Amino acid sequence: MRWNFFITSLIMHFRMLVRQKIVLLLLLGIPVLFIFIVQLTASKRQIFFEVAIATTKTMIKATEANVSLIFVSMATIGFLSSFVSLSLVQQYKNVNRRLVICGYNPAELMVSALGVIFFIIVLLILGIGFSIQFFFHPVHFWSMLLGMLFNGLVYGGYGMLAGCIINGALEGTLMVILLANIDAGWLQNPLIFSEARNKIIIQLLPAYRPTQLSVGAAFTDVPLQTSIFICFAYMLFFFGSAIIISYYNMRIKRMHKIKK
Amino acid sequence: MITAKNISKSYGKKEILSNVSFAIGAGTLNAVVGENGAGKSTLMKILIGELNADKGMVILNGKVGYCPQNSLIFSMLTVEENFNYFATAYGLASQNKHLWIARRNELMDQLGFRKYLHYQVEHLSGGTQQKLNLSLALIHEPDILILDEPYGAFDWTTYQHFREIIFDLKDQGKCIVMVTHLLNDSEQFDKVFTLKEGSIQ
Repeated sequence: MRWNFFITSLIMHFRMLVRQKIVLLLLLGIPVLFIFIVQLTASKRQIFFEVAIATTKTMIKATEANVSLIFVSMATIGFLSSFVSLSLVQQYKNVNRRLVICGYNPAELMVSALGVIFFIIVLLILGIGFSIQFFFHPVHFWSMLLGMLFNGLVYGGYGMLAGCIINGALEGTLMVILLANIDAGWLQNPLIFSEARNKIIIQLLPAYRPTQLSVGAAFTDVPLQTSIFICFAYMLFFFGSAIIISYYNMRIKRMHKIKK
Repeated sequence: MITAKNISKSYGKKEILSNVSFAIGAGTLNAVVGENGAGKSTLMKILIGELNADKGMVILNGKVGYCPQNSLIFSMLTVEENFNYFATAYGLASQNKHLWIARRNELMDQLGFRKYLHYQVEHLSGGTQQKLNLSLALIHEPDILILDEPYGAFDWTTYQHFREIIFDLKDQGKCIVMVTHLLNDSEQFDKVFTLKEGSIQ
């Protein structure tokens, strides 16, 4: 890794991202809109459900509005982080390839994109996390944010992977929205999960552990550390796959001999 | 400076290039011509290493500059930022900054788009984007220049300036390979490679 190459690429990726008005609009608008809708529509009745990843049977009692707030935040983070990653990786795939021909290492480009994605996700979860505090005080605020961070990173990695594999913008967007909607936006809803058949399917989806981590930390004192390792494994799988595939696609082909 | 040996490439069952071999020396201007779909761009992509050939070998002696057919530039960055990004890729940014900045300004003056230095690329016309596309291939003063129809959107004046730059580079001993359809001045080329049915005629 050459640091001046990495830093230049990091700055350029960041500039390209913040100059896309639609991305900025989504990053700012969607969390506000979703939280607003939850506050207007969710009931204040008390609901009971189980923390599925707790080692001992742990029930949560909370208002539907508060649970929905966490759940909708997770769905928002999943959708936005995968969309931002997809947009950053897919849009300039061919130009990045030209940069590699000119002397960049594919890994330098991908790691710098990853740095920008990480920065945006951190900003996003801080914004959403502190917004939640206006409505109720989570039991373990920073652990709840950690779950959100993992959700963002797992879905950021998924968006990056989709961007590496799929060339069409529409197909890529469909692919990230579809999984984010079904997983983070539907099946991980604690109320749906607690009554679901074949829970093993839901447990294998990427947002399961991060959602359980955030919900568990927001409403209980149960230790949830083992989930962190599994979240980390999912994140590594997606980011690692994306970097390996990009490297394979962008590298200069080996039949060449260039004598400088 | 460029040696290609037995290059073959197929897309599915369709053979695009079949045992293409040639050698090109320094200080020459060479044209690659052929009908649409003859495999000109595929050959250029194999030369620079963007595509893998099914078999064969390419040997390039020197720094390579490549100008693709479609403008491969960052549309959300300014012209200056594009230059900076590519200068970093070429390893120029860590060298004497004044040297490559002077080269950048010279190229922009020759092609007549220096006034757009601080403009975001997406706001520029197709012709100006193509000028930037070409300049990015020349900024590091390559020994070998591979150009894939680099002038499609140029006006007549810019095309004349482009010709001057190319002939200057040839006189400086650079090796230039250019995909072109304009063969009305074919006597200017040292070699003309015509691609037909996968082979060089």
